[in-house]
Amino acid sequence: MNPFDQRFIENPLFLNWIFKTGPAVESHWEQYLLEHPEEKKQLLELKDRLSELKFSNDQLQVSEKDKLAQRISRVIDLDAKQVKRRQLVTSFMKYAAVAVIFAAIGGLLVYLNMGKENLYQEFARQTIMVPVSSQGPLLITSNGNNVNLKKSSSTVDYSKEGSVVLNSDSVLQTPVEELNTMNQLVIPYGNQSRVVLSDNTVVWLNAGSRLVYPTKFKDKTREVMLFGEAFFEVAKNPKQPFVVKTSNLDVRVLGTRFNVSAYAEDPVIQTVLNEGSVAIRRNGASFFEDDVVIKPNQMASFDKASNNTKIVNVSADAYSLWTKGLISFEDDYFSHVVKQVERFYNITVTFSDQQAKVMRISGKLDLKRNKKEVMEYLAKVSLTSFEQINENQYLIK
Amino acid sequence: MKNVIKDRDHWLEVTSRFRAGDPAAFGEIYSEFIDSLYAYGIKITRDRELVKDCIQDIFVSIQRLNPQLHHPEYIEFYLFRSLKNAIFHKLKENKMTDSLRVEEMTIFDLRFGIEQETAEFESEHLRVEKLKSILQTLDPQKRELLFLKFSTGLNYIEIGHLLNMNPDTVKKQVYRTLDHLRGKYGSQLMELMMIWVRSERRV
Repeated sequence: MNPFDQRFIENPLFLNWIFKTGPAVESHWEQYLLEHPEEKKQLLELKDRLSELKFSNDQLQVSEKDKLAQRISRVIDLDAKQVKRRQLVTSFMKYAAVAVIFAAIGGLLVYLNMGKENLYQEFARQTIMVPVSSQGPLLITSNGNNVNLKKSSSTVDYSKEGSVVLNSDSVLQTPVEELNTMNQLVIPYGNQSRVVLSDNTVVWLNAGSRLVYPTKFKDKTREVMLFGEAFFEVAKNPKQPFVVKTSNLDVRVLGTRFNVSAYAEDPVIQTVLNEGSVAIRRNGASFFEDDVVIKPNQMASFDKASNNTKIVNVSADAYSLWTKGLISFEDDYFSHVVKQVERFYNITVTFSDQQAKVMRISGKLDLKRNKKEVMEYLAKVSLTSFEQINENQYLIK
Repeated sequence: MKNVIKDRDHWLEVTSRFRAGDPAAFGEIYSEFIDSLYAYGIKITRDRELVKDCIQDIFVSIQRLNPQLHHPEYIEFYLFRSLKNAIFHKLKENKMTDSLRVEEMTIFDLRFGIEQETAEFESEHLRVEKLKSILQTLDPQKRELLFLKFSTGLNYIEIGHLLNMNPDTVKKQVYRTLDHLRGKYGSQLMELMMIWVRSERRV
């Protein structure tokens, strides 16, 4: 083993690159090769050689992973409840002399609160991965049924009480709900969906996203949980604020239109306001920390690494064009535009020329066109050319 | 795009958040390792349900034992070791073969992709056949060793623990296997790669 090979074989990130790659690892090595062009040939040769040793893995389906996660969190919640109950009993004994009624009411409140917090944690614990391309959008109802929505552009409507209308035709009866039971809508890459919630709020879900929401909003606030990107048109109700929970922050509104992009793989969470006002509060913010409030045509960009929020003026409509099947970009990084196209068409695009990535381009894309046409158009505006490697893989040169 | 590199330091940070009770950290650990844990488990036994049950057990137990996990063991190692133990334990229970060592009954069923490949071009055929014949000489333990080295972030000491081997022996074994592949086959590799690339283009 020569020292060069040895150095890299002892680097777990190098092995990750071959056997378990991801966007972060790819860009790490892209950067490395840019900085060490003299090692490029030898490094790629070593990579090729080791690539021969890839092994076949029998993988768990995403639905299996989610089910397993649910099983785990159910056992853990059960554990937590038992502990809590024990603690309650002891504290009750201690203060039995104090007003009994007071203690009983307090206990009930603890239970209700705990139930809700645990519920959100349960969904957060589930794999945040999005199903493989072959599946269409998936609706996981509050009673645990999985409904495949089949169409790549689907609709789900909860506005009529007691039933759910899917794709404007088939109807699902909703059972009498327990408090706080949640539905989930999972949208894989290459799909989009529109949901009408029970309060008539309309949510457009972009490719590679997941929305968790109750069949009916019974609490003081209307809370939904978002993984990925969605555009909200929130029905006005000053008495019951609407809250979008994401991995790092909550967006609280009374009734407005806004776009939230919170993909797990992106380093920032972007909230763009079209109308009205929204307040953004990061998770774990201290009591004294003010909410971040933005005005229409402003974007709050929260950096997950530094916990800082930047506010910039933007043209808000451009950020919700995807709901109409369009992408508009102005002076945007080529790689950022390509990322959106990748998600929408569920394709992989690689760059042979790294310089092309940071090129800035402007234009508009009609996502109703097929992927080949869109790639051709992109090549034209960026003055690059591309090669189709196979059905879903492109190389930009 | 700046992303988080998930190296050992990253997982140390996540683990300490998990210890502090952050449920998101638990989710992150699950999402990251579920695939490689399953891939590992299913190579020890082909029983899917058994592997899933064991994965459930170890995740429940890290949550339960969390406050007691004072010892700052690397989380990935902890998970892989627990999984291997849990699977052996369950297999023993099921088969009630306490007289036999389960370790001896299980095979590490790792198949390299290339072993299943059917060649399309003649040059391809040559290449695949050569590598196949070399790989066939690998015993289950070497296969497990390569799996752990390639698909986990474990170091030689940790891999040694899992395989009940001396860390130095593990390291030597990795190098020997890779050298072996290179020696028998590597000199021609570049040349063969070129042919392969060209035939891809022709399609």
